[in-house]
Amino acid sequence: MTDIAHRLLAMPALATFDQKVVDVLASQARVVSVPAGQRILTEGDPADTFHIVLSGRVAIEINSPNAGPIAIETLEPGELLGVSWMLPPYRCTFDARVTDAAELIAIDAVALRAAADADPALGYALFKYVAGVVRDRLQAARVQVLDLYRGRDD
Amino acid sequence: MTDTAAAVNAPSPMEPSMYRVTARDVESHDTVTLTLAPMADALPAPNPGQFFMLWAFGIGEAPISVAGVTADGSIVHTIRAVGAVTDALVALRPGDPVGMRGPYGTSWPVDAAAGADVLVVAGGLGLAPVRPVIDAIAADPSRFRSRRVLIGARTPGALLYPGASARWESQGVAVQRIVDRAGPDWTGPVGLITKLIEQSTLSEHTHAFLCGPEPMMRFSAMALIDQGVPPEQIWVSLERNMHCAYGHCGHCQLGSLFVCRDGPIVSWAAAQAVVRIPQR
Repeated sequence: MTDIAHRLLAMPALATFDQKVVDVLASQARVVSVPAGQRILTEGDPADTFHIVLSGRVAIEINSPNAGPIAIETLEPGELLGVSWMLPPYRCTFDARVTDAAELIAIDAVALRAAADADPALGYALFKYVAGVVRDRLQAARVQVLDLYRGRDD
Repeated sequence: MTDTAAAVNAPSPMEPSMYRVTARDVESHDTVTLTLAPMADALPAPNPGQFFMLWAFGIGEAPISVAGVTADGSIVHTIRAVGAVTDALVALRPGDPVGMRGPYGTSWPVDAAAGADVLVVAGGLGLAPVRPVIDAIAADPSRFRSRRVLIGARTPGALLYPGASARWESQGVAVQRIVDRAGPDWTGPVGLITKLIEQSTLSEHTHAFLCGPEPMMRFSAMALIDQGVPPEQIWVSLERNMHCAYGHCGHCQLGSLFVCRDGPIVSWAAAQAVVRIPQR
């Protein structure tokens, strides 16, 4: 097993993956180090790479003409950065910027999509993984929309 | 004196004692922390989690949780302007009089957490009622196995008590903050406070104290239970429409609970069955 495969399996969200799935992921992966402040995804760009955070922190941002970049969520070690690679039109829907120097596993989404198309079991495993992430973030976004901490005059 | 005469001469439970504002710290555009000292006899000292009814003369009264007690016995309240009474309280200045009655309600069972892992989860203005708990665990590290505080706020600028947070950290308490949204100057975490709970190491030895908006406490309690914390060791502070504050008028009835008397601090084991009942 490669070092990247070991590191993937050590993540709670991936611990239940079959070895075969992890091996395919690892075969398309490389570890990258990104300094604080660097943008790694840009809204509208092709979603041809996704990342898993190994260390540091990455902010998902929306750019507002009045307020500039607004962080709506941060991703911590073990979390998936990027879900748009899974479904057409394979286009990033947010900006992502490293806020605390990060080490990431970068995975070639184009190659992985081709592998998933050829192997439905692999594709289903990946789809369940991404769907779980989307479910959790949808739930978080719904609660954030409630703006629970808002004061009367905010 | 006859029993009847004694009853006639006894002070009304609704009668406030006179206090005076001795300090006013602005926390944000709509929130202040007032320090209140007695003008005559002091009311009994509150336990962490209890509340007083504060009178804004000529306007009305509101239940306000205790955020602290100073060395000279003055009572500290953090108040957000959300209505006529709290608008008037927030507008008070040092020297102004205010009426107080209390303390009322149940308190955070800090002593029951001795020897255990203590987790405090506070959202927004909910940091105020648990501040006495944090002060207590910060001051006495040998009593607890571990001490962790998770604080959620709308934005970085809305985080309460930045000075106190730094002091708690200097006293060995692990303090983590998370905000709902932030600009590029904020390098900390952004998201729901449950995210910090999921990242924490918790167990059946954890005693948790939760305070904030009720949906926040519900989701936090569920996240704690998912990590093995027993519901009996999760404590929440409920808010309902409290008027008399001593279980007489029934305005704050929540299922079988009168929140002013049986709460505001209740275990999640008791609260989870009633917490979704709408406020009347």
